[in-house]
Amino acid sequence: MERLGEKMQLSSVFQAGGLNYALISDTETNKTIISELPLTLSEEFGALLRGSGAKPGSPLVLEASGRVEGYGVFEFPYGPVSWGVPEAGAFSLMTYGERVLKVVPRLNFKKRGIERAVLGRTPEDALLFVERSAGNFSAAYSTCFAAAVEDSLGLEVPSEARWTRAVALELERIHNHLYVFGRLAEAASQNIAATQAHALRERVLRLNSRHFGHRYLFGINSIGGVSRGLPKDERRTLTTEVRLIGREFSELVQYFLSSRIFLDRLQGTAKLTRKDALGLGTVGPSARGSGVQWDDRLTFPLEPYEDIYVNLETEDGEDTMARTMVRVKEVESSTIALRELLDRMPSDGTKSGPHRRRADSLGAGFSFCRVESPSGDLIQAVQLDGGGRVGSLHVRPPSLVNWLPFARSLEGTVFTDFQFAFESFGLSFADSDR
Amino acid sequence: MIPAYLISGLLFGTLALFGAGFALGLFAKKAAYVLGGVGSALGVALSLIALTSGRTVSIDLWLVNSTSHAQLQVSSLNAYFLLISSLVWLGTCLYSVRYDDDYPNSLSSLLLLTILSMVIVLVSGDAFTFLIGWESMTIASFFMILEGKGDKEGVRNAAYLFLAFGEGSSVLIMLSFAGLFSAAGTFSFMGPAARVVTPLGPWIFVTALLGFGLKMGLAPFHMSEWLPIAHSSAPSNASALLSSTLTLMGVYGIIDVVSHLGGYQLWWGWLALTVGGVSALLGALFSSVSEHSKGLPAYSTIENNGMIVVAIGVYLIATYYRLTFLADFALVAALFHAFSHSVSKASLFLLNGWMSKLRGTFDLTSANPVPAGGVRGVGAIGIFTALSLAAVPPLAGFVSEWMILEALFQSFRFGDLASQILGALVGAVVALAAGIMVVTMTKVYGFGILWPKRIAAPGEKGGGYIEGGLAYFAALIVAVGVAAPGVFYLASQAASRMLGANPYGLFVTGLLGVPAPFVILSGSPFGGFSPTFTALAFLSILMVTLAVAGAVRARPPRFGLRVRRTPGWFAGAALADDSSAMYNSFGYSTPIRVMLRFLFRTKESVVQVGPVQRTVIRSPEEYVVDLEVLDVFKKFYDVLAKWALGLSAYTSRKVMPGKLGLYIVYIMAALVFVLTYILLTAG
Repeated sequence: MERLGEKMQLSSVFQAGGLNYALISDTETNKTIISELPLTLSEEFGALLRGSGAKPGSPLVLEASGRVEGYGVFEFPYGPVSWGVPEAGAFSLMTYGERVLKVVPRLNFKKRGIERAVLGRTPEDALLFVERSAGNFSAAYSTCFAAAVEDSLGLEVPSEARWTRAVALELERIHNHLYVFGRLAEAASQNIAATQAHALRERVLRLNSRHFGHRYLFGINSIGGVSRGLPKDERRTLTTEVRLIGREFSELVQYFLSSRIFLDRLQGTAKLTRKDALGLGTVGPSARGSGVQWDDRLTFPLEPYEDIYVNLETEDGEDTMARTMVRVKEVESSTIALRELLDRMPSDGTKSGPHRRRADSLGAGFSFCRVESPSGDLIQAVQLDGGGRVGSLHVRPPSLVNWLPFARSLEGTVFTDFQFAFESFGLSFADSDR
Repeated sequence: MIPAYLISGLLFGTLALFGAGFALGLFAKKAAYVLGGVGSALGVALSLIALTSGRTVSIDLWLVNSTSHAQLQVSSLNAYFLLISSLVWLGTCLYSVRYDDDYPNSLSSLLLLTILSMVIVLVSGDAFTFLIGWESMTIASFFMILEGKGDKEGVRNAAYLFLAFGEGSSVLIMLSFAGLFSAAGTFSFMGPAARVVTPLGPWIFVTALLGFGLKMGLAPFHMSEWLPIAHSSAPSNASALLSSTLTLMGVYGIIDVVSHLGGYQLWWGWLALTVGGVSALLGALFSSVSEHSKGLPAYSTIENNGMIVVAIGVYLIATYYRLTFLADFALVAALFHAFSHSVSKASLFLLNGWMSKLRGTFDLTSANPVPAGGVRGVGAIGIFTALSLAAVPPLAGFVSEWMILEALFQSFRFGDLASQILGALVGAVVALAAGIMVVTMTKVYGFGILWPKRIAAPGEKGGGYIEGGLAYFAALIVAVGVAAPGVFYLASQAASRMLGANPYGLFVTGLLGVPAPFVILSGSPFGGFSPTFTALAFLSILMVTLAVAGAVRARPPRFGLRVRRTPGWFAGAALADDSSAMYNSFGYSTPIRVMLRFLFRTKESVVQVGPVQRTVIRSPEEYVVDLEVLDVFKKFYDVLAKWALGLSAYTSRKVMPGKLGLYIVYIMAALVFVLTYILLTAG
């Protein structure tokens, strides 16, 4: 516990069997460590990491820095109903005009209490709640929850189902990255690039709809498998489509890289140093943009990711440009991964057999899972009660931990950089409020 | 025909009333202000009579040398400036009856002494009387600044800085007068006198421009204007006097000296255009980032005086090229702008002074509330001042700024490419400055008057004098704008001495159904504008709006519009109890500070206070942030002051070691030198 810090990141805390546990990511050896947590520390981090202490309607205030004072300094309320804040969320900006001195995100305007709502429900019912936590990250949420439940039930899930889940995850990654790219282009008033990116994203959403039955991949997962497999001919058309989209996107990126106006708005904007990125526990493309080498697909690999090639995309720029380039490169590596996934997908069925119980190291029916969502590391810890119903659920959404790095990166910038920082972190209020 | 004794009688009456006010002020300040007000009213009457009759009346006092008398003189040019000043003094005296409550009696006395000196400056007919008035004006103002309520050190520094610049100005003016004397052979050259063409012309012009420019706060001497007023937090009636009429004396001086010179050279015009343009831009920029309710208008004065000098520059170049029409128009524009600026600026100082008194601070950023009783009506009156200085039609400021810009637009008529380019550039700069002033006036009106929270607590009240003074100025501002042809007539009358004829008939006409004399032309053929009919148009739009609103409200509820009232909100959350916690005047202009940091030398610093208690992911440090702008020229003067101090320390150590014998030797040597010089040059 003393070694917690930049190298050893505390990623989540949760309760199981009356004890507090800490989920720690060792960024040097890329290991996930589960450790019992002293009570004092658990209080300090509990509210911050889980955000579950706050009730619906009462804002959760995240402060990354201390008090700021000085001549002319005032607190500017931004959101929840302001232009430029895309969801119901708010910020308090400390400023003396123009210069952003401190940003305090105010969350929980969208609190739905998913973690409480699922208690006492069957895992199948709970899955419907969980995958609706954040529509953009639905595949990641449902895969994570299903995998955790399957793990605690000891279910043997067929490989084809796991590979199909991976296909959904990669499609979700692509459509999210395209969305972020489009939003950044919008922020820079690059209207053609924005429209192109959104059009490409729409094509991915339509692929989702055609092959999985839902644009945002709701309902694809079930406990023990997937609700629908991908027949051979569908795999082939999907491969072609994805390759086409990937190619068009790389053309778009070439245009983007030649626009000085666009690049000027991204380069050097909202810097997050590697030290801060590690110290504040940043996850996902935002962390990789600051040179942190962590990707759950490689560091906590679920089934297909051990067998296929996924490149770890990082950048050293530490700025909005670096975070954007990580996402751009991930679109490319995801299309490559998709081709491999679709090409080598095994055919052993999409449903598991009857449930078989398995003893677990952390207590009966308890397990956790980490999934690399488009915006980063998603952690869920599930405990099933004696009747096979959900006894407790802890979700550590990727957006929740990224608020503080986002706030830190904005310190010292000007108002007009706000939009770029916000979009490049891929933050979602729905995700962190759940 | 107006008899001369009427004019001289009024003049002596005015002087006597101000003199009596000066003496009385030591014992009864309210009575002194009343005397001052009556004196100003006499001054208004005197100058109106002199202006309309076009008579010049000289009163010889005593003989100075074989060719010159010390004399008082009333002519159309100085009567015009006396009219402007008297109008300002009248309102200031009315306001001061109430405002002066918490200042010592000496302030009223000094205020009237300053006014008396200014009258002497204006009506002097010779260099000596002028300089006597000029010096006593500077010294009286110096003591007035010392009455300021800032911190002691700051007030003293500001007052001495004012004195230093004032004396520098006097020296330059003396040098200029010396040149005029050697060319004209007499000291009695103030007031109407023949034009002289002399090889000393450049010398006379440049020293006059610098000397009077020092008083007007032109760049690079603009510190002389803002610093004494801002740093000393001088009394507001004094500030109004300093910034409005004292700088007006500088305008008068430049125009008067120029009127005695002939044979203008092209580069004089270039110099005036450049100095004026730079002053206008710097003044506007610094004004927009000033958070001091006195400093902001003081910087704005620099901007306006810069515009006046630009108009004089156009006059000089146009005269050089014999563009009579343009030269006439530019000169009248300069005179007109002097009028509209003086009344608007005095009004702004008085307005800000009252608001600062209610808020208890000169800081526009402050969140201090004001008692609602004290500001009743002030906001409605003040809007005219702010709009006039922001040059919104049809008010005073718009008419004169329109005239100056129109004059600059016609720089294509100049005979050489360099003048044309310079004219166009300065035109762009002046237009930019005028644009920035809109932002500045929005700020001073918004954050100075509308923003402070109004509380019901009992507090200071204007007692009619404050509101009366401000309403008087508002009426004046509207009148100068709406009755622009009348003011145009007076300004033309003032300019007629320099131009040889009254140009009024050339510019004022009727056009497109607007009857004569309500259209002001800016060239032939060029632009035209009717402030009066613009005002009428605005008024009728307002009336229609009010009529519609009234009609809607008067209808039975079934047809009428419902009025729904909801609590205020901001960004989806309830409005903060105190709006100044959400935004302030400093934040309003910080974008300019940040964007133009190369000009403002903006320094931003983040100072961490307290220990850092760093936990794993939280670091509750405490920061103090600071953003300040620096007037680069102040740095220059700081260095200069350091050198001067070093030099005087050196001198006192080495040259004047405190030995009485040495001093006597110095004095003897100086006497011998002067006597020798006189002996050699006499005869």
